[in-house]
Amino acid sequence: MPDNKGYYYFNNGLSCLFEMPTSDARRLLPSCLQPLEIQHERSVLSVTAFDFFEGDGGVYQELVLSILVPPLVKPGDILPKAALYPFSVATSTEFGRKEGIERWRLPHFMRDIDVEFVEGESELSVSVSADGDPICEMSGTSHEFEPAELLFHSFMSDEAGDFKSNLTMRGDGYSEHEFERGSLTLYEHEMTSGLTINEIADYPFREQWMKGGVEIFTPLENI
Amino acid sequence: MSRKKTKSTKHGGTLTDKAGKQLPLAMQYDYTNFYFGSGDDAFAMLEPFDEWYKDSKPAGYYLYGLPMQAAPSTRVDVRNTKTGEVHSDLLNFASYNYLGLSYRPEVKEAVTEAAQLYGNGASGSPVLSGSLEIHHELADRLAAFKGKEAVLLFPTGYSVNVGVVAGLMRSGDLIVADQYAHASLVDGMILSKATSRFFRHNKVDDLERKLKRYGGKKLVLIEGVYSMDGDVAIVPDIVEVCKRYDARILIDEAHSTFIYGENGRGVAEHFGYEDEIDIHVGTFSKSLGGQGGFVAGSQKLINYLRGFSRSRFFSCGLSPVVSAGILKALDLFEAEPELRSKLWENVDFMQNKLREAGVSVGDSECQVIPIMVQDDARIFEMGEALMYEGVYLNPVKYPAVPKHKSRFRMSISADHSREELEEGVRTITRVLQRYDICPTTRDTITSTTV
Repeated sequence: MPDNKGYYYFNNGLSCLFEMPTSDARRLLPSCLQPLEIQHERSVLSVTAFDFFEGDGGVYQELVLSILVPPLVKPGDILPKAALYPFSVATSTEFGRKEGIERWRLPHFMRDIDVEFVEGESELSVSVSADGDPICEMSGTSHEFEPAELLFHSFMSDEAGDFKSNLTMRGDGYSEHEFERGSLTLYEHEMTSGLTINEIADYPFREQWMKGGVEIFTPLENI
Repeated sequence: MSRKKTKSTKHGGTLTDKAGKQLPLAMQYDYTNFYFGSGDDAFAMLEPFDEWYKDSKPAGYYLYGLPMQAAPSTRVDVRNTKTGEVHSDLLNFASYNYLGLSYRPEVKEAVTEAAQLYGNGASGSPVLSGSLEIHHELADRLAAFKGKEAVLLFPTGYSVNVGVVAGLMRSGDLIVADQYAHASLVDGMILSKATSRFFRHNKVDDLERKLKRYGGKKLVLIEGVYSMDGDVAIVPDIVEVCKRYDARILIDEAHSTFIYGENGRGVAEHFGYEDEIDIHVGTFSKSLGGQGGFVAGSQKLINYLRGFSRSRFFSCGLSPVVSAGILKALDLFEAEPELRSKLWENVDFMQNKLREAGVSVGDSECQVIPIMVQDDARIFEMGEALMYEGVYLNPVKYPAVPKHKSRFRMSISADHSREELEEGVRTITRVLQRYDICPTTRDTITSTTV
């Protein structure tokens, strides 16, 4: 029986969290959401890169820039690990992009991107560009990989309204640490517009790397 | 090449320990999950927090705030709020009483006498009726000790930093703090409404990057000794950068006053940079075993802060009873330089013994020693084991420190005997070995031999 959920299987999913100015985060969020502040005037930019090999969007790579926000928890709900608002998404294929826009109402960069993953023993590097113009370079490192299943709230917003999907990330191996070993270089680009790049940390305070995983989205619900 | 699809699991959650055992839900969440709540009720997070806390407290959070039965000496009796039993004669490595002054007979006598003269409290704000002769005596003594023109007393260490930072800085100014700066400094930044930035711990190139982007008034906040890691601010390099960008500097010497420097004036004295630093903060609750804090600097700075430090202005003055205890502790500190020598001997001994045993103590250089466990899932279990085996140590885990950097924060006192330190190392090592946190004696011998 189809469950109307979206399934996206990936080899590698690297997500690193960086401090960013709260003023930027407020500008990028819809009025129904507030940014988390982990330090005074410092919110959280999540940069995530996926290498999908199968699923509803086919085979493609993806870059997602999100802002962390408080989850929407009703009495009796399971508390999610975190909640995020993707404000800039890009894919390497039109099919993947169409899926993201039409099904999940995610704001997309409208051209294909090139994503290169370089996996070392304990480091994963990602370079993203479009038509030869660099967008970002990110590296993350591993701690210890363990099986994990993590729940997130993902928020979307467009002219049709404000929405939420419960996003489950399940993987054979998941590593998370705060050793500040990774790095980030963001470039001025349509995808990064709205970000004051020189005010964003060039190292992650948290590095999250999932291998052999699946992203499962529940159907959108109005909030 | 594609990996195989992940199989579905039946359980709803989520993280497993190193052995692959699923962690109880209580241990999968922490305080950060309950900071923001949704909905319109200001009490929205109370119920979910309470549900989590009911499970989490017996799972380990009960180890915080256990009631001690008497003075924080090197041996203490502590009531276990989970079982109700009192653990007797625990070796105490959890208290700040670095010089063992809080319970000295002379201090107790001075406190008793002051209570006879002044009663219990100051009964007023220090700017109104809560200023007593003993406060002036204490402030003058401290100014002379610090070699500064004046000192202002505050009822707590927290209120010094909040009051000084928010008292000086305004909206549009820039404050740059070390990322490990104490919460009181951060709260001062928030209250000041100044633009706030943080630089990577002790990294002057990052400090410079933050300073060079802004004009206007600038204040840099550092600590002498950082309280979670026991490492020291690289004062000369920080001063050099600050001077280049016309930034004023505040140093919080809560854990280093009466410890560092030839005369015990702190890390600024240790590096010979006392005059280059504009604002010197210290506390009475650590080495002097009392309560409260102070700021030392120029007379003009103190005059200004007297009028604009709201955390002092709108608090009751420091208790005269505590003030008398602090004055006596200061007498003892000055009369007995051997207290500091003994503390440093104990620090060297303990650091060496722990390192020899293969226990990681990070970059600690002083009496604050982090016993690095780096096992967030089992640190409470280890804390419990240590208590049952005779050692009282506080576990520190995320979010107080980064994920996977959990530790026990050990405080060494001049009052610890050599036997107590040896017993502490033996017990700590034994417990950590059971959890594979440090090598067994056999491993140590083998690796040393090889």
